[in-house]
Amino acid sequence: MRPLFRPRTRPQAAFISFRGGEHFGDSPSVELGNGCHIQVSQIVLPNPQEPSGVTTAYYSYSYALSSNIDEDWILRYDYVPGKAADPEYNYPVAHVHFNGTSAAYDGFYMPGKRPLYKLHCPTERIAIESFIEHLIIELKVPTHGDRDEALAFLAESRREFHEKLRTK
Amino acid sequence: MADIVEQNGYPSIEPIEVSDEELREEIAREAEARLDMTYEEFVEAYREGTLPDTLAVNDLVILLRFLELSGGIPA
Repeated sequence: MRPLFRPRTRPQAAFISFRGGEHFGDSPSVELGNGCHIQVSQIVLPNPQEPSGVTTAYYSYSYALSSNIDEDWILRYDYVPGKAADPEYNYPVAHVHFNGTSAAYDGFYMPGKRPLYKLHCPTERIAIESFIEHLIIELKVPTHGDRDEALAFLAESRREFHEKLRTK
Repeated sequence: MADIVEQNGYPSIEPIEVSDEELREEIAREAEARLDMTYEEFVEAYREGTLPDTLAVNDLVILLRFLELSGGIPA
């Protein structure tokens, strides 16, 4: 996992990203054991409601079926809570984009229709554990250790995540 | 590059501390390499909402927002 940037002017904030290279742009995605590529970025800030905790100010989780991630990406989960206050932003702050095709969608008429991949399909805020679990279960990404133990670890970590959300 | 160290048995990442100027330089380098745009062109297109909807753009916009959130003015 690299890089993790922390601004000198605001040392509590951090930009966290999983990259395939030593420097930011060397390899923006990470190849997994089944050949698909993921791209994960988060910005975390101090949580004003919990001084010892952090809050996610932004995330983007995506995966592609080749190293050509700009062309071959399938799903991209975004969370942009800062957009909630933007009157020109009319979409859910937590959403998923699907880079697929649909003959039915292509043939359906509506004014101002956007390409299918540009639709912001609403989601809840997605824990990174759910994204990784999806990769293991649906895309058959191999785990380093025991698969069941990995899934149990993710489930427990996600339970803690939801528990914290509920108690806020 | 962030150094990976062990902490309580788990890998831990030592963060890279960066100034606003270093972040701007990183964005400029990536905008040039991945989008064939200057930093100024990238920021202007971001503000005008004319950037293409690609993962490369999304990747760099996150870094630009981080610069904004950390108090650095993008341009």
